[in-house]
Amino acid sequence: MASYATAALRGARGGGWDGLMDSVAGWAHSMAMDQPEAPDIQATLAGDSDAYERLVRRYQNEISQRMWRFTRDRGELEELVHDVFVEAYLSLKGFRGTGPFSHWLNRIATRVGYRFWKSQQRRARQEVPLQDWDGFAASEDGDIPAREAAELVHSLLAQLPPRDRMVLTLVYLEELSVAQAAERTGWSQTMVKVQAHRARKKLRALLEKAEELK
Amino acid sequence: MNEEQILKKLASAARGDGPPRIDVAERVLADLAVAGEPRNLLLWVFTATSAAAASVVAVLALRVWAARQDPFSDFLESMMAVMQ
Repeated sequence: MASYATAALRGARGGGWDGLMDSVAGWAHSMAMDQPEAPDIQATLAGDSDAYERLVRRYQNEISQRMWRFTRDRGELEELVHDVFVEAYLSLKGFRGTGPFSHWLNRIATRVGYRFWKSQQRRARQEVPLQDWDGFAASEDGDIPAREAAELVHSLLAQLPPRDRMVLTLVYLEELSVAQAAERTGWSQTMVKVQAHRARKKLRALLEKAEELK
Repeated sequence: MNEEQILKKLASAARGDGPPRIDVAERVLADLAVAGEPRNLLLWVFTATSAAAASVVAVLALRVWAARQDPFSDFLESMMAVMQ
């Protein structure tokens, strides 16, 4: 899979660690010092790669969990998580510390995941076998194994365009409020509500179509 | 069961599914380190190669310049021999 972050790295200004040095002084003043990651972020901006490694290790499980919503393939998952941290590094000088670092990182993860879905959009959409739905609808809560449910919801949402898929993932799978989903995606709250409404409508149409085909 | 109920039920069940354990730290750091340096390194390699190629061309050009002669000299020599 072509890595966006690798392309971004190629396009990044030469200088790598040095390129971030310029922003250290201004950033140190503006960053809230109660952030637990503040020392590592400052050290990273000052050119300490070990500090960034600590940040990656601290957050990779959380980001991995997040990106697992975007793919069910281990190789793609690794690629996506890698891309998130490369993109975060390249944008680190823009982090002002006004909110938690993990929120900022999750916004990047959402952006990377959305881009991944868009790149996958041309692929033929997988149809969810009807017998799976029958089995699911007949099952009691808790009867269906987590992995199976995750596979099923992934296949179901994969039949929707990326924007619809994104909003449903955030609202239903991640259980975010409208405000949180808006913050994560960079959309307005009205946009999130409208998009969620449209996405549910499309999902309903998909399920009705599946019923008709029975 | 409508689409929202299906989605909620599926999402609730799917939440227990965790990702496989991965570690990307080393790869990220390696890629970032490579991104910082190769531009200078590539520039140096390209400059050195260009300079070497230019030197070869210059030496050859000088030798050709020193050995240059009238393109008609062979023809004129033959004509002179015939005329004599």
